[in-house]
Amino acid sequence: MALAAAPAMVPAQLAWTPTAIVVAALVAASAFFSFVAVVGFYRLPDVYARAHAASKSETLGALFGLAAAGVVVGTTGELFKLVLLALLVLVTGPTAAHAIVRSAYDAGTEPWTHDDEDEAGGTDGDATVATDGGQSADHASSVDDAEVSR
Amino acid sequence: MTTLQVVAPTLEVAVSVALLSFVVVVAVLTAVVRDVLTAVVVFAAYSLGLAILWVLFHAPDVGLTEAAVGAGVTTALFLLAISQTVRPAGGRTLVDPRTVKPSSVVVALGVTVGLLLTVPALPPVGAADTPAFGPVSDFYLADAADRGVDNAVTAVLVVYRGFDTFGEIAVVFAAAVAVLAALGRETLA
Amino acid sequence: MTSPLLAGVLLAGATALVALAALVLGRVVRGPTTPDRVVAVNVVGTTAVVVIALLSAALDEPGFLEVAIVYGLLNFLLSIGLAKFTIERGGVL
Repeated sequence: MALAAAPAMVPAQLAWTPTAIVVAALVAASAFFSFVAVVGFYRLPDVYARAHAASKSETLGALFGLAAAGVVVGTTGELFKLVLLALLVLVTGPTAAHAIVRSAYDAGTEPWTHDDEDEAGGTDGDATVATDGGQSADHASSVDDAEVSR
Repeated sequence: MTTLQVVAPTLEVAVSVALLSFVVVVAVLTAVVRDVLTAVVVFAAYSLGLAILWVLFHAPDVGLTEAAVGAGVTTALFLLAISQTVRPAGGRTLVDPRTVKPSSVVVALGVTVGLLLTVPALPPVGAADTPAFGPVSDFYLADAADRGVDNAVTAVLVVYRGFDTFGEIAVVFAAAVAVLAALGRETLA
Repeated sequence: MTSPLLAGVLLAGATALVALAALVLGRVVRGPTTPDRVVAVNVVGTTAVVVIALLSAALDEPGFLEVAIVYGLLNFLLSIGLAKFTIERGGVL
């Protein structure tokens, strides 16, 4: 019913203007890279590799999404805030992922290697880890060493 | 109406539906996840979803509060509390259904159904006869500007109900002091 | 005013991102380690920032961007706090 009325109304709003095409492309790129990040989250074998998906793919997807919003917004003030947001995401995303991963390393998580593939069955993507469950005293001392050495 | 003028509101509904589903899923996960730390992390995600929902419903102030209190302060307090506990052994991710008390499920379902029953009594979204569109809000919007406060929400908080806000601050301050006292006694690692 | 077409594109993108964030929750539940979960929640937070920015542009609400900025800062603090927590509490986590 809406289609019948459409030709009489303003078609200018419907037209795929260059702006609309750019925005659609940026949104699609954002969704694509976020999807890649999600796939990485499920397929990659351990936390180090998954942090990789989070810090690279997800950040790129976020930047594309913010760029799409930046093309649409009208005023300089909004654009400035979006640029600020993009810088924030660009700096904090990988930094946070790095901090988490370093804490995982300090806590004794063993990185996944090819040798683990046979016994751990890497297809599930849940490489087991020394920190799971109750931890022993020698582990606590290794954490202290890591703190001192920094 | 062009097709897209129909489609755009539909998409807004789609975003709301996606967010609401997200929030419900996360809320259920918070309840059924066995590890307490996972529950806290999932609960932070719940707060984020809820906060986006507030923003979508044009209540950015509430969204900010939800994000700061729900995802920020609550998570920090939960983590401090958990750090005093010991992680249970065992590999189960989700709670064993046999250990759930039927009475607690009944109470949860009863409260949910009771709250849902009140929904039809609410006025429809955007109804003209709701108090928000009455003369009261016009008065506050005009009067707040006369008093030199640009943000109407701030004006209500610190001018029209200033004593109420003062009481709230007293409560929050007392809670903060209590938390600090408890943490000081526990001698945190 | 954002044209309906642009708003539709942006809202569709926001819906897709919310759906992807819901998928990331699977990793939050499965873990298997706490850092896995923290990284996943960090990604959910980043997605939240982008979704709010898209909503701001689509619904023509510049005020939403402030919320997005606060989110971004909070998300970073949350992740760093959780990361530090896992180091200090190696025994529990």
